Amino acid sequence: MSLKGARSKLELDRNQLQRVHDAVEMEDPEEAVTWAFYAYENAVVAAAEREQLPWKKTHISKQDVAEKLHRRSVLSRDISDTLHDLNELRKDVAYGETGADLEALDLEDLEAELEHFIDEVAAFVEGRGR
Amino acid sequence: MTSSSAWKEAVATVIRQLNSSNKLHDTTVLLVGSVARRANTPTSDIDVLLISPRRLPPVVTPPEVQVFTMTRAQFIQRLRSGDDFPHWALRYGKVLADDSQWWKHAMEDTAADAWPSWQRKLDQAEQRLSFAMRLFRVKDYEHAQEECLLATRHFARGLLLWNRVFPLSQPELPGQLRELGCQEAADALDSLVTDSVHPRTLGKVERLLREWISELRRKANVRSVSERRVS
Repeated sequence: MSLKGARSKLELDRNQLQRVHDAVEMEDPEEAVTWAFYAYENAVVAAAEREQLPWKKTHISKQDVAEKLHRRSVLSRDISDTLHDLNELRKDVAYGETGADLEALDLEDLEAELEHFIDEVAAFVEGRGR
Repeated sequence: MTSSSAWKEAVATVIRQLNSSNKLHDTTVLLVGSVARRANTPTSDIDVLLISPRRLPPVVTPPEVQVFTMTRAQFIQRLRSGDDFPHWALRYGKVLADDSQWWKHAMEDTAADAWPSWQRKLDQAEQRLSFAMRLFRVKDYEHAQEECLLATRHFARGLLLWNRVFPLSQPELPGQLRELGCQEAADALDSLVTDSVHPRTLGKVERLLREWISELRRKANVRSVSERRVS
């Protein structure tokens, strides 16, 4: 799917970034973290599609791909740890097991970093990146 | 399938870290989930539960290992609130380290007939289903499928608990549902763990799940009214 696939994932990303923004405004960390996780995964897949890097529909595969994209200098930051941590928080939310980790999360930082990451992926997909 | 040596190696990594940070002496280490039941599949995580007197520092693990941490107070609180996870750990968790013997005493103190809340699982199923539909509406079908799977698993556990059947590990749930005669719910679970489900199928599962949840709540009301009449 390459460019078309990458663009469609990016479209999803922009929508989901808006959901993160709404959740941050509402001070709802459970919503924010879940939308943010899915948005990050979609952004990683968008970059992988553009780079024609194979990926699988598993969270581990997307973490692995995120690391490879950084190693290939496609992305400036290795977000594999971010993906891992957000996935843990998302699962805590899904199982009603949220705790101190979620309380400690700075929602505004979460939104800002996600937005920056999506912008970087968008620039790469449209050929304006590094 | 995760081999016995793979999980032992992964757990050894966790135990080494606890030991080096001088936390092992009062931390209970349990293997939980499908590996503990020897029912794991090639995609199963190795789930490890750490219970300690105070909050533990983060533990670095290989990606296939998922570590759950709880303080002893949190464990007891969640057990009393009807959360099925600590109940599961009490029944099926494999003790890997318990130098302080806290786990042994916790098991002795826990009433044998304590039963997790099936209502809690239905509430969680509805929450995940609602999130799945929001993802569905923005056409993120891959993640909608994931949330739908979570909703179906919560529902499956709720249904089993309502029927006084204790839910085993994730890969065992479809078999337990079939034994209960819930073929359609078992099929829904099986279909959602496959690689990619058509959006139409997702929509169908969503409708079915809502019907099943409503039906179970209705049955519960009827039972509750008839029990009140008897008493």
